[in-house]
Amino acid sequence: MSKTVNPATLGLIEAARAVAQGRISAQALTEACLARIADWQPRVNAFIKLEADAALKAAKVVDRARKRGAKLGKLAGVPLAHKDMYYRAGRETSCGSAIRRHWKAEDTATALQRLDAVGALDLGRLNMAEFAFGPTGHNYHYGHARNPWNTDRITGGSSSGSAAAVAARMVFGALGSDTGGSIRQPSHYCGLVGMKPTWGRVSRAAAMPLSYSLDTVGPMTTRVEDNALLLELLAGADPRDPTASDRPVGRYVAAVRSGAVRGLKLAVPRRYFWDKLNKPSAECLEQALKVFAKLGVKIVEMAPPDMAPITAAANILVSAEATALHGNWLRTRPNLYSDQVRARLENGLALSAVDYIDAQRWRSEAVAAFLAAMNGADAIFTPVADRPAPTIAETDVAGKPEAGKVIATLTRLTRPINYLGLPGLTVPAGFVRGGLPVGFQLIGQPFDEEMLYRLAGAYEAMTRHYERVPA
Amino acid sequence: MKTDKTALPPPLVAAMFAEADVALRSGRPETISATLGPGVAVFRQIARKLAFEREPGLFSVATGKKEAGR
Repeated sequence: MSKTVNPATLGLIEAARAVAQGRISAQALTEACLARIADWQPRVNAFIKLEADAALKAAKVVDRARKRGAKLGKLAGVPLAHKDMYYRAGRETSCGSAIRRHWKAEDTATALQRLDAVGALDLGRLNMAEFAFGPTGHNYHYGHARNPWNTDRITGGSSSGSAAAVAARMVFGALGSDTGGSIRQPSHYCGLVGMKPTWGRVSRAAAMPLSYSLDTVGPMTTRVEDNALLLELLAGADPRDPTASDRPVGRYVAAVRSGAVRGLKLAVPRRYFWDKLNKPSAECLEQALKVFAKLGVKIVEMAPPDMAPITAAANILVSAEATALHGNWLRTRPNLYSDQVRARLENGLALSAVDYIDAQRWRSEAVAAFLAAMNGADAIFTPVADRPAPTIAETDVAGKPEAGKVIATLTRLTRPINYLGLPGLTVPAGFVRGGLPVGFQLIGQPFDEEMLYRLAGAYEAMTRHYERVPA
Repeated sequence: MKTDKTALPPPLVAAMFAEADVALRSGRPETISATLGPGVAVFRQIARKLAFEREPGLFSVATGKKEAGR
């Protein structure tokens, strides 16, 4: 390993390979991450709880195994950390809340089990919006997460700590969850690759639920192939989660590396998705489209269906389901919620069973209409949010009446995709003035994550935005 | 699209809080009515057109088959 390269700034696959080949020990890799954490944690508040000793101990086990020639897992000795809503038996899992501050899980999430099984290390529990119900990164119980590119700015949310930790190169990857944009939107604000898979692609067993019909589990990384590898390891059927699909898992890493995108068709829905986009972001996205065109991808315009009822239906589902889950605590411990989360949870009380069931009944028709509008395109290209990360101060609306508007603004381009159940991938598109990152969103056909990785991989090979690291 | 701004009238919201036995804070029915109500009204325009036989599902219409696991 070159002495000039900080090992913490390697890609996840590069790091795994370096450990497997003995070019760096798992212990040294973990210590490099811990040094980044010592530097960055006071500035960005990514971790709720750091578990350095356990990770170092596990790293030494990996090093001993390598020395005796044992077969190592694909992520042996690679430090990760995850949103504090993935349960690990016997360990506290706060879900970003006061209500569950000292709650200990009895089971371990399937997603964590699958990462453990390939030797990944777990450096601790990452900050998140309270009960994953907030898109900014504010947390009144554990402190707000801050954006490593500018610490006055939001990380986005709800996977706020995951975004801050990966962007600051404190870990090589993290699990997020996405119910209305909670992986894709913080990935956009923090310059990361974030995959919200098709609903049912990744098991949600022993992960905190927010809205059964919309929740998805997915990875956040600095590079596309790293993200693809994590999804390949996470995806697939799970007897513990009957909603996890048994469709075959794609060869996502191979798709990234294929580079075969010439002749593919990318649809651009200007209506709705570009309506409120600010000028620097629009310019950045036009540059990205030019890169795709240069790669031989055919760019076509697309007229999307009316997105207003899709967004409304998504809001009905998340409000009703979240309120049902939190009903007992709303009755018995309402004062332990922050104002904004309590207010949002109360919304569901106002909905009728008929509204909820109709929102479920319309779903497949809405998907069919959206896919028909793609008109044979291989994927859709959209912004993730209307602008780069706003400030923490300007979005600090807590439970004030304007909170609804702020939340709707930050999620208007991602929430509809959860209702449609489709895969969505945020890909870094570059930086605007002030050094803030901007990403774009690729949306695909159901279970066609492979196509999104194929397009993203070819784009990244031309642009390599991941080489820029927050200072 | 024409929307009905009284989709969730404040007295109805207040009554549903009472039914759920959740403490009602001052002003909440009006706020919920104003913020959630318009979206519900938009969606109800769509819901009125749903076929009698339409069942809940995600990809069944789009892909022409029942979703596995349902």
